[in-house]
Formats: sequence, C-alpha cells, structure tokens
Amino acid sequence: MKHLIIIGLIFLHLVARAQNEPLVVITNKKGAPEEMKMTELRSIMKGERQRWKDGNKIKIALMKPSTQTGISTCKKIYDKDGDEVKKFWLGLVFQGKADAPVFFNSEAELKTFVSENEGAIGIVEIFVNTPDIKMVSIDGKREF
Amino acid sequence: MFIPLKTKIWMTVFSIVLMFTFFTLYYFPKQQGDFLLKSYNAEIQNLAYTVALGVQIALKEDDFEGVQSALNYVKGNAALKFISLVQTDTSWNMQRTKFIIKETVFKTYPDSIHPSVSIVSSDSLIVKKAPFHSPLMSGNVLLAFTSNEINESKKNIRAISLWVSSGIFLIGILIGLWLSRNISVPVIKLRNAVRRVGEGDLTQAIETYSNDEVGELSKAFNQMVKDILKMREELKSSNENLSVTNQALNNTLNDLRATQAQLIQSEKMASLGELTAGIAHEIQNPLNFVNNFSEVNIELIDEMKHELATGNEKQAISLADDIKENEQKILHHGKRADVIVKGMLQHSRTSTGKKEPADINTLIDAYMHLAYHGIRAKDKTSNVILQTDFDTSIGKIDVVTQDIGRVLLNLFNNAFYAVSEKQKDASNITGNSYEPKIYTSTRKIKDKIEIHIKDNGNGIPRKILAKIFQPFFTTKPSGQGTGLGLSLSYDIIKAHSGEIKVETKEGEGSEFIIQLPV
Repeated sequence: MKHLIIIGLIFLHLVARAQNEPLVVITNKKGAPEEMKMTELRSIMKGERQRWKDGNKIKIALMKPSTQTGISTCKKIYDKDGDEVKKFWLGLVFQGKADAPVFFNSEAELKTFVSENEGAIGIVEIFVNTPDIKMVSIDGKREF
Repeated sequence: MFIPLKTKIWMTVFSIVLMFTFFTLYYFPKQQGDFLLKSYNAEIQNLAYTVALGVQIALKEDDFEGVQSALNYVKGNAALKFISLVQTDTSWNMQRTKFIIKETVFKTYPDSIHPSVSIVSSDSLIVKKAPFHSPLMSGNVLLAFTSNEINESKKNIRAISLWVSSGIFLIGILIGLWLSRNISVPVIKLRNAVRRVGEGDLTQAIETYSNDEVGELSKAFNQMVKDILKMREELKSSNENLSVTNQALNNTLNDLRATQAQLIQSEKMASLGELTAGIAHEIQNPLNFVNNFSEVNIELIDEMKHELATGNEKQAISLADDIKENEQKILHHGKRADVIVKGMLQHSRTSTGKKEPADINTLIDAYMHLAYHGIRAKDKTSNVILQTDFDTSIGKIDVVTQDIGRVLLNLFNNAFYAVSEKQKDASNITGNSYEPKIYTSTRKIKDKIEIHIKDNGNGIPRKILAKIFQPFFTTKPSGQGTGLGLSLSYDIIKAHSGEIKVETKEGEGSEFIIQLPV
C-alpha cells in the first residue's frame, strides 16, 4: 500500500510536470501565418476553423495523449485530459464536422508530417528549424 | 349437373390463369420482397459490423482518420438515415451491489437526428446494431437505413408482376378461344348433328377443322351417318321383305287357324262318331220299348173292346189298367230318348264361349254315361264298373258347358279306352279276374272344385307322360284318335283359369285331376 501511494505520487508529479512543459506551435511553410492569438489557435485545434486565410486546408498534427507533449497539449489547448480530447475529436469526426487530427508517438514523426503537408499545424516541445517548417508565435510568444 | 364442355374449358383456363395470377401478383412479389428485405437487412447488418470493426480498430490506434474512413463507408450511401455511436457505460448502483449498464447515444450523424437508444426497425426504417470495444469507449454502432429503396423495388416487382399477369391473362384468353374454337365448337356442332341424326335427319355432315382427335371424330361421325344411311336403306329393304314374309305368315296363320278349327271340329265329330253307335243303341232301346208296348197296347185295346162288347166290364177295366201301365213305360222310354237326343244336340252345338251356371255333378254323370254307351256300342261284352262320389255341396259353377263337356267326354273316352284295352289283354290270360273300373269324384276345396276321373287301366308310360298334352300326340291306332283331345282339354281348362294334371302308375291306372275356380 505504501509503495502504491509512492508510485501514485510520482505519477502525479510527472503529470503535473508534464502539464507545465512549454509548447511550441509549428506549421508548414505554406498556409499558416507567422503569429496568431491563443483563441485563434484553440479555434483551429478544436476544428472550428478548418482553412487558412490563403484557402489551404488546415491539417492538425498532435502528439498522442499518452506522451508528455500530448498531455500538455490536452491541458493547455483543450483543458481536458487525453481521453476527453479523443472523445472530443471522435465526436467531431463522427459527425463529419472536422477532419480527424493525426496523432503521433514521436515529435520527429510529427515534424515530418508537418513538413510534408501544406497547411499542416502541430504542437511540439522542441522546435528545430527546418526549411519546410516554421514556428508560429502565440500572443507574441514563441512558447506558451 | 350438366356443365357444357365450353364452360369446362373456360373454367380450366381461368383456373390456370388464376393460379398464375396468384403466383405472379401475390406469391412471386411477396417472395421477392421478402428476399430483398432479408438481403437488405443482412447487407445493413454487415455494414454495421464493418463500421463497428473499423471504429474499434481506429480507436485502439487513436487513428481518427480510420474512424473517418469507416464512416465514409456508409456516409456516401443515399439510403443512410443516420448512424450513431452508442456508448455503453458500466457503473455500480447506489448500494454498490450490482453493475448498471447504461447506454447513451454519444454522437449521431447527421446531428440533426436524435434517435433513441432503443430504436428498432419499422416499415420505413431498418435499424441494425454492431458492437465495438476500445480502451476509449465501448458500445454499439447504430446504423439506420431507409427502406425506400426496398419499397421502390417492391413496387417495381409488383408492376412487372401486373404486366406479366396481364400477359398471362391475355394468353389464357387466347388459349381459351383457341381451345373453344378447336374443341368446343366442333364438339357442339357434332352434338347438334348427332341430335338431328337421332331425330332421323341423315343429311348431316360435319366439316373437319383440324387434323387431330376432334377431326377424326368428325370424320368418324360422317362415316357413321353414311353407314346408318346405308343400313337404313338395307333395313327398309329388309322391312319390305319382312312385310311380304309377314303377310305370307299371316296368311299361313289364318290357314292354320282355319285348319285348327277344322281339326277341332273333326275331333269333335270323331268323338261324336264314337258315340253315334252307342247313342243309336240308347235311342233304339227306348224305341223298342215304345214300339213293343204300343203293339201290346193295340192288342190290349182290341181285347178291351171285346170285353166291353161282351159286357165284361171288370175285365175291360183290368185291361185298361195294363194299357195305362204300358203307356207310362212308353212315356218313360220316350223321355229317355229325348234326353239322349238333347245331349247329342248339346255336344254337337258350337260353343258360344259364354260361361253360365251349370251343375257340374250332373254334367259329369251325363257325359260319363254318354261315353259308356259309346264304348258299349262298340263292344257289347264291355262291362265297366262305374263308381261315383259327388260332393253335393258344390252346386252350380260358371263354366262354358259345351267346352267342359268336351273335356269330360275326352277324359271318359280315354278312361273307357284304357280299361277296355286292359280287358282285352286280360282276356287272353287264363284265370285273370280283371274288373274294369272307373271312379269319378268331385270335391269342393275352399275356392275351387276338383274333379277326379280315375281308371284302373294300363296307365301311361313315363316316357310319354310329358307329351300327352301336346297337340296331335296319340297312342291310339291310326284312325282312332286325332291326338287333339287332351291338348284341347288342356286349353279349355286353362281358359277357365283352372289346372289339369295326371297321376299315373304304369300297369295300375291313371287319374286325371281337374281344378276349376268356383
């Protein structure tokens, strides 16, 4: 019982730590603006806005809720836990209100997806500058 | 119940058409509709399973594109009414004693529809469920399709069935008309022709329509009419011949009747002839008495005159008494001769055929004596013991006297002939004490009388017994019998509604028994 309580506390600590990790919004070079507001980001991430101003379709790339980045994203963007986010997207997709986001196990895979798909947008912890990806400021900040 | 052939044909055709119509209008569309509905249900169920499986796999991998793909599998279908994800949650009850399974509709596409979890299929909607399980959520995919397509298909099937039925009905009518034309019409014509032939019109001929059994029947009928016509001609000819033959037979019959009458008369005259001698003797006998007593009276009158002349009155009175006695004898024998003559006249008279009351006992006695005198005239040595036992209660009965007299005379003649023949035979045997006897009796038995004439002659041989009543059968030597006596007797008794039979024992005698109704 004592061990279980210790393990639980460690898990809660890790979760709390993970939820506080700074996140960075990356997009494909084409389509997305250089900066946007948090409300705008949330609108995009909730499927409410589905096209960039240039008409490109927005493709959402997210880390799986089981990853640290995923947990942070769920908390900061959706203010929900992982399953709730999944259900949120399941509902949208099921009703055909939005295209399904793509969930990844690693940030590398996510970045590759964003670099290869016009209009793609993703949320990662660490930004690495590449020719096809750009970082988007949120409310004037690089991280949120 | 008479049902015309035409009606039967139409009934058969209509029955077949009705069966086909039932099949095409009801059974076939129903079967097809059921089959389509069943297939459609199965298809929707498969779709539900497919979508559920897709959702399950996608959710396990957090692959929402997979969910999208699974849904796209049905979303493009125009018949899709809605698709829902039903979430199944398991929780404890308030007392934490058992689990409660709660189902809620998680999401529905299109979102304008809000189906109940417990929705089921109806006439217009087919609803299928398929379960899925994932770490995120477990539940059912609820898939609902409209049955408009099926209903439309059913309508199409019914329309096609209606057209097919109409076609079958039309074909049925055509077949009926064809059958009617090829079977019914010729048969009716044949029937009418047969009727007219039956009525005697042999000019009928049926036109042959078809080269089948009906056609053959018509040909056979025509041939039959020709044959009948031919037969009728032959029959007519035969009838004419028969008429000629009939006329000839009629003439022959008339000749035969005349001959029979002559024969009867001959037989009568023969029997009369046999009696003539006896009758003559019978008349001669009283005449002798009359003559003798008349001569004696003449002598007695002369003597009486002499006595009166001599004044011997007493002697004259005595002679007068003798004369009177003789006169009485003359009267008696004169009457006897009168009876015989009257009997002769009665027998020789032609029968009137009219029945009249007659004392049968007296009739029997008279003819017995008539016959006896006849036999005595032929053979003076003939002595026959005549015994009679008459039932006096019989009284008079209605008979044709001449005819019954003829029967009696025949039977007595035969009886006297039989005993006289046996007497002749017996006279050749030394020491034979044969006494010829004829026993005659009458009896009244209820509503009839019986006459028995029994002799103790030689009897009738068994081999000829069956023939004795046949015409022209006689055992007497040629010239002594016509062979008609017993035959005529049989006919006369039958004409009186009576019976005549014979009982005989060869060597011991015969007994004829006549029964007559009273």
